[in-house]
Amino acid sequence: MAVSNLDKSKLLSPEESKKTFTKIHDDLTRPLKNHYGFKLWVLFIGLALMVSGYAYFIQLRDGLGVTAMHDYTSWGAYIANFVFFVATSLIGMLISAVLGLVGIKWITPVARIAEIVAVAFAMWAGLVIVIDMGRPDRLLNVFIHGRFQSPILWDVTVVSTYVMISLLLLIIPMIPDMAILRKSMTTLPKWQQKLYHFLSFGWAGTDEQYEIMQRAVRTLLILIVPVALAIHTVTSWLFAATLRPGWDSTIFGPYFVTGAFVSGVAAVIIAMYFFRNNYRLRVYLNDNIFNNMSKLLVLVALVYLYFNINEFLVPAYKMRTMEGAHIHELFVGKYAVLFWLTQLLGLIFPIVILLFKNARKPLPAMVISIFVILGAWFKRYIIVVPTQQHPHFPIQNVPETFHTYVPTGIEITLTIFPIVGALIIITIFAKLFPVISISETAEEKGVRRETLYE
Amino acid sequence: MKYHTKYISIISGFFLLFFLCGSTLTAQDTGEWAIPGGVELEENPTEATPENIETGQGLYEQHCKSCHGTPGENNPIALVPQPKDPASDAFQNQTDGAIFYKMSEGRGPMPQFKDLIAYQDKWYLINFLRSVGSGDYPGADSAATAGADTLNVTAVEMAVTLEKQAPASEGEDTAYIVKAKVTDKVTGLPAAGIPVGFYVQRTFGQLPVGEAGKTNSQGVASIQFPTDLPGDSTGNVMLIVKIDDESLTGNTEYSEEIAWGEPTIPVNLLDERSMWTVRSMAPIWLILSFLGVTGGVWLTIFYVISLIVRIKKVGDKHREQHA
Repeated sequence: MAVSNLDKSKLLSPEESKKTFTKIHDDLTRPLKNHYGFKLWVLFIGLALMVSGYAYFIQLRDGLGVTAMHDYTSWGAYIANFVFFVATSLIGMLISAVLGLVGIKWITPVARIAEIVAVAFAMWAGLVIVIDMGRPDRLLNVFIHGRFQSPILWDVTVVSTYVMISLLLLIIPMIPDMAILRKSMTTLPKWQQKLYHFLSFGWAGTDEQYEIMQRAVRTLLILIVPVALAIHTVTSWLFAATLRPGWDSTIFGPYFVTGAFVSGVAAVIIAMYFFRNNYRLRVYLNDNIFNNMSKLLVLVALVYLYFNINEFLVPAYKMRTMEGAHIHELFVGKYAVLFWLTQLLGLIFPIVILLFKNARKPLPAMVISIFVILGAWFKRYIIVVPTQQHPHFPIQNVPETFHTYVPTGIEITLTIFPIVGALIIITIFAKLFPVISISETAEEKGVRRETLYE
Repeated sequence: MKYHTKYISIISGFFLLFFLCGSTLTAQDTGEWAIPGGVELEENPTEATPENIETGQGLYEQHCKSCHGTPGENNPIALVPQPKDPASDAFQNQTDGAIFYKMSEGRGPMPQFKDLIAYQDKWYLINFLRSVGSGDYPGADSAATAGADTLNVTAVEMAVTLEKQAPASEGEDTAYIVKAKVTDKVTGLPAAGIPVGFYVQRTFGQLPVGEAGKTNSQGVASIQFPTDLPGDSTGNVMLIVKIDDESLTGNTEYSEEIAWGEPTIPVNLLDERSMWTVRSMAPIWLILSFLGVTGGVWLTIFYVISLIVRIKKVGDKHREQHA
């Protein structure tokens, strides 16, 4: 990110500088004007909005009874979805802060994509919770009457804080780009030019401004690490603060955080592949970056695998009555197929396959990432749902349907919708702003600063 | 080889020891169950009416069946000594008084029901136990006429007195005695053999206190009142004395608030700061943690926003200078 010290000796001559900059600028701003398939995509999004809008209307009108949730399984696909969204949003912290602060160079073209994914998923994490509410009109009560003792207040606080920091981490490093676009994109609609003008915050590219910006970014990068850890640790505590088998675990915090990195890296690889092809950014999002991101995926997946072994093997060795029943259900019982598919296709096979160099090329890496992210979603489902079918008191004298949980059509629709919703936010960002930083890419190629704002 | 023999002899020595100990213990438990003299002859003061037998059956299912099994099916659980099937001859050959004593005192795996089942209820239970047997048991004939003395009494007058007995010797505590004197309302004579129960009112029912029993020949039944019962803030408890025979009329129930309990000041868990109360009663450390962490993070965020404002100001100044 912006925290990079430029090597003066690598600077290009003024003429070359101008030529290189023009090329980079044109490549990266082309998608803002028009790109292949955009209208088709908007049409798809419009249809998805209509279908889900109708589904949500029915849920609002008839209440949460239209879902399959009931007295026993009162947290279903919606909450699994919430955990998944919070998880995926952590990628912003991993790429920008962890890799950025240790000075890893290859992240420059990925950083903004990761931050856009983070903002989109964090924003929707909050909305997914609203979908799970029977009376969303009472949402404000959480803030008005929220108790410090309740994990819900901590959750709401930490999610909104994370959204704010991620948003700042997205727009502050973008200030120089906005100054460039303010001058160059004169053919775009007036409101869009005004937006660039506003978001450039009077940027003139002076040394003092660069210094202030770097200070702001560095502060945020340090701040986002504990906040991101907090957001997912608090999410995990919503479960781990209970005594229920499968949730009553001391490693739930790190277990969730490491799992979050897996789905986040996979999400960014998929987004990278899409931008590489549709935005024709092959030169920038090249094989080398896919190679590096795939290696990163293997690393985080290995750490997550380690936590999985701890989370399942230790209770499985002891088989304490209630835990034992839960583990039995996961390993060989009702949820066995889902459990092993998730662990094998979503975690173990990807780790093994990505060890081969050819698998780390863009297309195979993207296909594997899709498996990883599907695995990540169903893993959340396996964490949330089966535990509730082992209440402390045996299930008796209740309707037969209470013994199982299968999401209804409306539930599935409203579970998929937030994913489309996150894609809508990503689409808007990627349509208004360059997905790769123009100024940083140019400066890394040796373009002089004065060339940028001429 | 030599060592092996040595170890084997040591180990077998231990085994022998265990067997010896085991058989001694078993012998103690399965030996004759001595019944104090006189108790054996005690008679069932209640009648074997269908209602009483039904009450007894309910009690049997609640307290006894899990070990003694279904009467007549000889399916008690495996314990040492073996619980007896109530329908068996071995069981029925005991007197009512002996059954009552064993039920009250317990021994080994047989629990004590002295305070768990009320005096009257124990006799109902015996009514049920007799109903499952052949009808041939010691004292079966006299049982038919049992309570003949008390049956003569139809109306009673009960007077309850409270006494504090000074300790007989140094180091002993004062004894608190509750006495109930029952007289026949018709003749004015003391009524003997009237079952009297002593209770203390608790939140969810009446707690039997002391040894319930029947009035003696002077018409008096008494108990020593326990000194460790929690009372209200001044130590008051509600004493209830009842004649456990519904057929009798007159003042068969007596209650009085007495200050013989331990003063107890109830603690409302919601009065203190805790995790389970309303927001304003949250623990201070929790409020401080929340506000501290959230405040710290948001102050930093506002600082970063102020930096954006500074970028804008610096830019404006720069443009003015170059304009």
